[in-house]
Amino acid sequence: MKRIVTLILATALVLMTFAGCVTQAPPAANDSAATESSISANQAEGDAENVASAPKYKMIFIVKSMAASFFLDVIEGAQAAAEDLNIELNCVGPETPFSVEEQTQIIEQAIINGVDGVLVIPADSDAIATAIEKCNEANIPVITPNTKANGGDVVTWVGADNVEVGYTLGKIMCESIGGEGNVVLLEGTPGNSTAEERTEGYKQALAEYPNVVLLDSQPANFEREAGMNLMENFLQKYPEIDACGSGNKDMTMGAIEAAKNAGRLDQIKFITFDTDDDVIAGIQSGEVYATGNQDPFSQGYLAVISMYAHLEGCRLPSMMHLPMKVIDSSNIDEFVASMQS
Amino acid sequence: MVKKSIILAKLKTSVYDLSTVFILLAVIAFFAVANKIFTGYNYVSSSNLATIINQASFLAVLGVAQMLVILVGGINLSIGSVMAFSAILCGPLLVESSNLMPALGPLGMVLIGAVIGLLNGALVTTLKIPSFIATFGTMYIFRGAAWIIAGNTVYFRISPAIRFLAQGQILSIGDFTIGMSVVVCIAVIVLLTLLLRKTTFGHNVYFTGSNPIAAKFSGISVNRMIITMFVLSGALSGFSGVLYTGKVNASDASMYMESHFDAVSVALISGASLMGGYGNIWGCAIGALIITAIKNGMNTLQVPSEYQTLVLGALIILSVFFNDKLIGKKMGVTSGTASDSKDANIVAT
Repeated sequence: MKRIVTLILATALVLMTFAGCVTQAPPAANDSAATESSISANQAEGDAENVASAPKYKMIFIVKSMAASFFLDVIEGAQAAAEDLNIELNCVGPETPFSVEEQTQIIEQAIINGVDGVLVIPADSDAIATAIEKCNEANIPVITPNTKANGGDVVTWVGADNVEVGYTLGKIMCESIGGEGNVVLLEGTPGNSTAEERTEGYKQALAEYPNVVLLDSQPANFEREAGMNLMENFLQKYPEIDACGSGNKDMTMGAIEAAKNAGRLDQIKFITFDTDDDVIAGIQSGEVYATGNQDPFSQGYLAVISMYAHLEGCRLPSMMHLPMKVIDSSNIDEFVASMQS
Repeated sequence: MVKKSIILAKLKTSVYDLSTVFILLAVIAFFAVANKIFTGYNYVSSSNLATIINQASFLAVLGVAQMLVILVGGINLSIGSVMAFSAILCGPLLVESSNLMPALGPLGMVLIGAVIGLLNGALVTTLKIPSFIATFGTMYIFRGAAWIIAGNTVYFRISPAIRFLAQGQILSIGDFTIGMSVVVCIAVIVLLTLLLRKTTFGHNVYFTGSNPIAAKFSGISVNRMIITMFVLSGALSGFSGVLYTGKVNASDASMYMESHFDAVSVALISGASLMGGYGNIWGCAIGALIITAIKNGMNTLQVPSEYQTLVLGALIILSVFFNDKLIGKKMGVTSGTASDSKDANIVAT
C-alpha cells in the first residue's frame, strides 16, 4: 500500500515538473475545448451551422525562451491573432532558455502530431536549419518571426533587424553625449544571435563617431543582477563614463541601480531596448534616456496572420520588416496612451 | 613531550582550516599583479576591495543556505526557484507603493522559503527521494509556478527599508564603503556558527552528517534533523531573496536562474565535504570572496566571460580535490597524536 502511495506521489511530482514547459496556452486550449464541446452538443441536435466554428488550422508557435518578458508579449500577440482567426494555436518554449535542441525536439514532435504550420523563433539561426528541413520534407510551412534562420525553406521572416536596432540605439547614444565622450556596452549572452547582432550594430554606429571612446564591452547575459554587477565593476574601473548602451532592458535596469549606489546616475545616459513597466517608469523619471520598441505583440500577431494567409494560398514577401520605434521622453506619454488602448 | 605534539597537531589543523584563506590571498595577489602589468589598474585599491566585499556578501548568504543542507549530506538545488517564487508571491508587499509595513514582504518571503524547505525535507525523509532529485523537482515546480503566477510582471521600486537592508551605506573610510549587506551577512554567519558550534543541536548536525547510522543509534532523530536543516536552508534562501531583491530594486519571475550553481560553488570552494559532516559556515564567506575576487579580477582584465566560466569550473575541481586531501591529512593528524579520546576531541574541531 505504502509503495503504491509512494508511486502515485512520485508520478504526480514528475508530472508537475512539466508545468514549466507550457504557459499561457490555456486561453487557446480552452477556446478549442469549448468549441469542441459545443460541436458535440449541437451535432446531437443535428445543427450543421455550428460545425463551422471548429478551428480551421492547427499551428504551433515556439519561442526562444519563456523567461524573457519580450517573448511572453510575442505569445500574447500570437494568441490574439489565433482568437481573431479561429486558429488552434499551441504556444510553447524550451524549458532551458535559448536551447535550440529543445526547439528541434518540439518541432519534431509537432510534425508527428500533425500541424498545419510551424512558427518558430530560432534560438540559433544555424542549428535550427535541420528542424526546418524536416518540416519542408513533411510539407509543413515554416515562418520565423523575430530571428532569421540560416537554412531550410522559410515562408517569411517578420521582425525588426537586430543589427539595425543596435545601430539606431548606438547613434542615439553617441548623439546624446554630443558626439564625444566615454561609453560602455552591456552585451547579451555570448553566442546568442540577438546579442551579437545588436552589439555589432552599436559598434557600427560607434565607428562613425571618432570622438566617442568605447571603454569596455562585456556580456551580462540579458540579466538584471549580472548587469548590475558588471556596471559596478565598470564604475569601479573607469572614473568617467558618459553613456551606457545595452542589449536589453534587464541589464540596463540593473546597471542603473549600480549607478545610483555609486552616486553617478546623473552623469550617465542609459540607452536600452525593450519596453516594460520598469523601463517606462524609468523614462518618465528620466533615469533611462531612450529605449527601442520592437512591438513584440505585433510580431506575434503578424506572424500568425501571415501563416494563415499562406495556408489560404496568398503569396508573401520573404522578409517583412517591422520598423523599430524609439521611445524617449518626447514621446513616452503617447506611447503609454497607445499601450492602454 | 605529549603536549608538544598536541600543540603541533593543533597548529597543523588550524593551517588546514585556513587553507581557504590562503587561496583567497593567492587569488588577490595574482590579480593585483596581473592588473598592474596588463592594465595599470590598482586592483587592491580600497574602493575595489570594498566593491568585492559588498558583492561577495550576497553570495555568502546564498552559500550558507546551501551549506546548511550539505552538512547533513544533502544538496539543495531549489534555492534560486525559492528566491524567485517567494519574491513574486510577495511582490505587491515589497514595492514602495504598498501601504503595509515594509517588514511584511521579507517575513513572507522567509516563511514561504521555510515551507518549501519543509516540502523538500518531507520528500527526502518520507518518500526517501535523494535530495538531489527532490530539490531538482521542486526547483522546476516553483520556477514554473513563478512564471505561471507572474507572467511578465515586474515588481520594481522596492520599498526603501528593504533597499537599505541590501544597499544602505554603513561605514565610509575614504573610498572604502561597507554596505548594510555585509553587516547582515556577518550577523547571519555569526548566528549560525554559534548555533552549529556551541549548541547540542549543532553537534548533532555534524554527527548526523558524518555518520547518520551511528547518529540514529545514539538517539538522534535523523529524519527530524534533515527536515530541520532543509527548513532552515529554505528560510535562508527566502532571506537571500530579500537581499537580492533589495539590491536589484526589482523582482520578476526569471531571476536567480543560476543561483543554485553559485550556492554550490561557494559551499564547495569553502571546503565543505559533499558527504556531509564537515564544513565551516565562515568558510562560505571566504568562498564567496574568492569567487567574487576572481570575477572582478577577470572583468578588470577584460577577460572574455567564457574564460571566467572555465576558470570557475577549474577552481571548483581544484578546491574539492585540495580540500579532500586536507581532510584526509587532518584526520591523519588527529588519529596520529590522540592518545585518548579526549585529545581527539580537542583537535577534531
